[in-house]
Order: sequence, then structure tokens, then C-alpha cells
Amino acid sequence: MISASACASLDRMFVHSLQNTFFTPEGERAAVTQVAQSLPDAGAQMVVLMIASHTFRLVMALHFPQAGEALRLLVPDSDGGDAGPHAFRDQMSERGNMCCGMVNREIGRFFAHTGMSTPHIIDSRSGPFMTALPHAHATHWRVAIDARLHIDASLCMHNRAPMDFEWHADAQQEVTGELEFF
Amino acid sequence: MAQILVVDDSSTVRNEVGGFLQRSGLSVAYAVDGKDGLSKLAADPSVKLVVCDVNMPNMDGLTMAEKVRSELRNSAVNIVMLTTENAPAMKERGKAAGIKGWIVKPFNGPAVLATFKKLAGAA
Repeated sequence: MISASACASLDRMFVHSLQNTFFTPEGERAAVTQVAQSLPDAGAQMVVLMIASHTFRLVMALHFPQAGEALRLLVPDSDGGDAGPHAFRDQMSERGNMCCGMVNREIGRFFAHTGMSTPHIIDSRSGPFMTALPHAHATHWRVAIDARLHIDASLCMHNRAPMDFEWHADAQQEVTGELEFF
Repeated sequence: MAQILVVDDSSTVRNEVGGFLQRSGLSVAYAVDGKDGLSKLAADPSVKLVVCDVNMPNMDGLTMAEKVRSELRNSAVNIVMLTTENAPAMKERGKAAGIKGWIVKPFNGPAVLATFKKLAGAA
């Protein structure tokens, strides 16, 4: 069982992480809206990452379009023609890693002993199988980079024990990029 | 002979971090995972600072840090983790392995450059 509060909190975490991972060409946070279903373009791939603990498994997927224009918009410093598909896939994996990492840090405030996978890239046609397995909560989101490019994202929770928590972005003051000395 | 070894399975991160450090006048070598990092460090003991991801295939960064001390017997090299992870248990494991510090991504080069130069013996 998962509470309505936990579902809403997971969604807020995911949207928060997407907004802090993807920016418009003007440097603004990308707009994120909920959609009924992810419908990636033909030929798209998706980066899949998982956060797991003893009591739950949370799968996240980011569907990326093919390189080219997308590379120029998502990686403004690079030359889309020269970077190549491998560089694009690696860049997308790192975006997924950053996004999932933020969710992992926040969910770790409520659940001990979570572990996060490394990114895996698979064909986006595998997306529907995420929710074919037993799950308690699944949502799909669209990240608007600009009028020409959007990225679809999916979140799917399978829990094996009751889950109830409340999270709001406003209450967190995450510090990143600074060196913590030991 | 490199001053800094950047260990990350992501070429995006290796380019971002290593590129910044090179443009800042530091010599940089690269490794793609913990296993590769151990090998590179064994081949070049002059490395003063290792900047290392945690989650990597083949060998993770914390295991690598432990093996730097236990297998390479290198207690001199400074190790800083650069990762999306922020779990206290992981940091404790890192501390036990003698790592020097922890940075939660994203990487903010200008904020850490002076410290990195000091740890790399370049300040």
C-alpha cells in the first residue's frame, strides 16, 4: 500500500529533479507537465535508472530523441555534428544520473539503505513494460526544452511494504557542488 | 606524469571535469572505472589527487579507494569523491578508506579549484 501523500511526494521529487536537470536554451528551468502516457518518437531511446531498498523499487526513465537538433539544444556548448551518437548517449546518461541522483538523495531522507543503479540505455519501445509489472504508482511527464524539443519521462514505484511520507521541495535546502572536507 | 586522475564511467563528466582542470593549468589523466583507476594509479604513483565517481561498472569508487590504501599501499594520494550520492553510510565508508572529501554533483569547478590545486601539490 502506498499513501496518496507518498504518491504526490514522489511526483514532486521527480518533477523537481527534472526541472533542475533540464533547461531551456535561454537558461530557464524547463516546464514539466503531466501526461497520460509517454509516446516517444520512433527511434527514440530511453535512459533507465532504478533506486531500490529492502521495501521498494523505483524505476525512472527518460525518453530521448535522436541526436542532431536535440544535441544542440541540450548541450549548447557542443557541435551537434561532431559530437556523435556515443557522446549524445553519454550526455543523456549523465542527465539521467543527475536526475535520479536528486530523487535518491531526497527519498533517502525517509528510507535508509537505498541504492541507485548506473544508467542503462534501451529502446523506448520497452517503456510500456515498466508498468506491465506489478506497481503501486506510475506517472508520465513531458519536459519542454523549447517549441521544437520535448523529453518524456516516466516514474514507476513497486513497494513491498506500506509507504507513507510527505515531501516538499520548499522545505529542502540541498547543497551541491561544494567540497565537504573530512 | 599527471597531477590529477579523474575516474568516471561517463565521458561527459571526464570531459567536463578534466577539461576544466586542464584549462586551469593542471595535468590530468583519466580512468573509466575503479578497476582502470587502480591500474592507472599503480602505473603512475606521482598522481597527487584522484577525483572519483562512486557508482561505476566493474569497480565502484569506494572499493577503489579502499584498494588504493590496502593493495597499492598508497596512503599519500588525496582522494575526493564526485557523485550524485549523499548517503551518510557511504560517506562513512569513504572516511574509513581515508578519502579527503566529498562533492555532490553538479561539479562547480571554480568553487573547488583552489582546494584541488592545493591537494594536487600545485598551489
